[in-house]
Amino acid sequence: MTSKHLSVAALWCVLSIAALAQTPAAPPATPPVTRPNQRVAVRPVTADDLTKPAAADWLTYHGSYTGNHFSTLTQIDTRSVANLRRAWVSDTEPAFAAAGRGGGRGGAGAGANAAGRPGGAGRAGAPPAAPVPPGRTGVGRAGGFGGAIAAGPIVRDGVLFYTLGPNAYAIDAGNGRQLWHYVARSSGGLSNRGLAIGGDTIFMMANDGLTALDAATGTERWVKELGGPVPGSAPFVVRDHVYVAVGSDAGTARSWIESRNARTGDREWIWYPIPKEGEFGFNTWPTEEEAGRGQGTPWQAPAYDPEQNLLIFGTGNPDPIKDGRTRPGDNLFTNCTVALDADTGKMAWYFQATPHDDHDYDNVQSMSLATIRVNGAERKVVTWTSRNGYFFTIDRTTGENIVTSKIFPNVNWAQDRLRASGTPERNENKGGTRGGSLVSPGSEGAVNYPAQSFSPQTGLHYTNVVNNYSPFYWSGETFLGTFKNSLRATDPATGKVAWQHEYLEPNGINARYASVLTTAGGLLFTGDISGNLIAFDARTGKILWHDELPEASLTGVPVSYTIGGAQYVAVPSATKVVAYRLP
Amino acid sequence: MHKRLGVAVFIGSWAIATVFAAAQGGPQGAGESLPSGITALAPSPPAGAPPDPAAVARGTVLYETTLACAPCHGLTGRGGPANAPDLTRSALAVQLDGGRALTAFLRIGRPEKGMPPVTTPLTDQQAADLSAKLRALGFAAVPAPVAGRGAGGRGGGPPLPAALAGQQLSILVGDPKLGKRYFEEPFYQCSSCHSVKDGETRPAANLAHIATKYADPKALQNAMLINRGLNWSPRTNKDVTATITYANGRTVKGYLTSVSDFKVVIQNDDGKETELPRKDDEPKVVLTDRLQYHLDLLARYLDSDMHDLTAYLATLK
Repeated sequence: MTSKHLSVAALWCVLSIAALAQTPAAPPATPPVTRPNQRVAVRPVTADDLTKPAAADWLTYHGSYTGNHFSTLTQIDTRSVANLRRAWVSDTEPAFAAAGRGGGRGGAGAGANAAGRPGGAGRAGAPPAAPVPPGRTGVGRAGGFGGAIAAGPIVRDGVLFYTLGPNAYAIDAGNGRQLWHYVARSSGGLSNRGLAIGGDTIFMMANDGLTALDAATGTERWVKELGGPVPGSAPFVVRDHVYVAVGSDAGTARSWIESRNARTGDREWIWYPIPKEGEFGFNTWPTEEEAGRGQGTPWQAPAYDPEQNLLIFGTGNPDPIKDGRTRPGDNLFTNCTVALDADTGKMAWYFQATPHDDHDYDNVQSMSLATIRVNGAERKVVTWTSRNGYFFTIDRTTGENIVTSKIFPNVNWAQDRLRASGTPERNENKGGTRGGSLVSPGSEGAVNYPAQSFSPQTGLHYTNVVNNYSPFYWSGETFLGTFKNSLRATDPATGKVAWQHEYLEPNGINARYASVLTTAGGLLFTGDISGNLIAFDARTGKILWHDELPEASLTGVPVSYTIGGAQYVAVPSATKVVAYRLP
Repeated sequence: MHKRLGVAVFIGSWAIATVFAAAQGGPQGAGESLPSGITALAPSPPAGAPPDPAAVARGTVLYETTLACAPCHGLTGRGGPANAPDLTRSALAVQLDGGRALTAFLRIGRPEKGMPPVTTPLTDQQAADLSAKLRALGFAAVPAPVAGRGAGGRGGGPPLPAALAGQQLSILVGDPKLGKRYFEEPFYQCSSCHSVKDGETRPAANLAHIATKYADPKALQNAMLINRGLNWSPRTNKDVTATITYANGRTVKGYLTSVSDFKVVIQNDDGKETELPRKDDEPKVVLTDRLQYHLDLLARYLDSDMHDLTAYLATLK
């Protein structure tokens, strides 16, 4: 997380200064929205809808509580996909940049937005996305920075909701036309990753807090300040709770996840990934002062297990990020996958992916809840590929490890020998050093936050991965380019690679930013760095179809839904949402 | 001040506890473990007197060539990218017994870790020579107090109390003499492509003044590893050549601009681009990267060797 934010932050600063230099004297008084907002008709989303989502809708960032990014729709399948056609490209008024940029970097976010000017467009905002020539490669990261859609869209009753920085849009999911457009005074983080819906309310990380919008009109209902840096991760709803992560990307204070009442916005509980003195896990830190440097931010929306009433999610890295010398110990519960009781916030179990991290390996991937057979026995598991270059499967009722496997043989930050718990054991020679230690995965990680997918149909877990290196110094690391990427299908029961598709493009380092969608039609949708949306046979890895996207490759989460019985696949790409259906 | 002191004392006792636990050979608690493959830590420097240089010289041949220890454990014995143990910290490796325990260990090896057994038994003389070599590596690994280098020394040193301590110090921690050797010797083969003599032409860049071009040692080290940033793309230079072969045997060659599963774009010497469609992995595209050797080296560098090479390059002003 950090590395990406830091470099982009530097670029952002330059552009901000440039923008300031050309700023007119007074900012516009109201958000410069030019098209009239229309009222949209969507049925309120009930707790039951969220637990058993209809195939026609896509109601959460992950599509369902399982975190699987799997659609049960079958109309577009391995045969019919050959006829898949572009149905529409979204038609919206341009996105506006915020006066500030939320909590992307430490406490700076809150201060930067203190003015709270409405619709500070044209001031020191994020730059508009540079149009990318079709099919061009080497266009930089597809991570949704600098004005690209990083969101996972929400679809309800034929209306598609998404964010782009401080903008929230509702568009007609059948033709891509704008229905309403809301401009917040600031966006959470550098890349707003989308919305949550509960009842008739849309939740957004914006305005230095949690913002509730009327789903029908996009009008603001309330804003609750969160008292800390606001990241861009999508909020998450279970029954009448809405969960939000609060925290920075460079240590200033402990990060946390909190539960709020979805109607009133009142806080219900807070859970800190880094324990305080006297609490369980504090003995993995030397002192309160060191633990208090913070981080462990849960950047990615959780998965939810209704049977156990558990929120399951990953936590980020500790601080200082690349220099662990002052914080000997495992630094729990940073870089863990944890399970919290959804009503009380009490931790049920944890599993640490990277103990004592000093490589920025935050474990904030999308967690897939699956039921699989392991050695003949049915197991309820959570499975994911971590940024640290390991694939994990753990029992989600106990946190007990089932699989830990290196995704590349040259992953070298850890020893070959695992701990009894299944956690990799650090190779202490591979921490940051003054002269530099050459480590794989590098500072960009083997994966980042974009969506991974599990298909209950194939029983395989899918993600885009990059095999790379960085030299790590106490004072930071270096981003080396030129590494190839591949799409991986992994058996979560064994960690064995079922198939992989290796991309030839030599500068694939940024290609892991493409999220993955699988469907019951036997398909896998994802993007390559060359700007193509590709449909693979999820079972074999064979390419069945592709389309060159109008601006860039995938920047947000691909989703699937139906309107009037027709299945659509919609993908955020740079400043547009592009949708496909059969003729 | 009190807080600072507290941290230092804590870290100190933690380190001592780790070494103590190791010396006892007892079970290790979470977060306190020995480096991979080492069952007991060696004292630093090793016990006893430094070994006889003549025995070390003979042992060097065994270590680097006959038994091929160096490819995994490194020329300095400090471990490697595939997590081969740091022999300078292995009590077994530096034991003062003329190599008896070592011989017994080598007869079995660690096949489960990829270390094959030494099948031809070592003579007593060979065992003693190899032992002398490993002990010499142990002595060499002790950080020498060098003016202006701080407490870091080679490959790190003890933890420093302040979070940011050492960050202002130069990253030059290596030995330029060793670096010169690695540059010239077959293990890294730098000199087979690069010359360090003014005006001499070799296939790759002349490095005679490389430390002037990269005055910052960190930039120098990074350029040595792979001289490409995150946003490098083959379209930006002529580093990558594409050989495109059709099923009928027709072959097209050019500098790569971009390649996907659906098309490959190449350019000729004048920068004129040609776009060729692809489908179902046809035509085949084979890429030749001018810096492939540097990419392959990333998996082979030992950190200490990387430091030594950088230290050597830093002398080429």
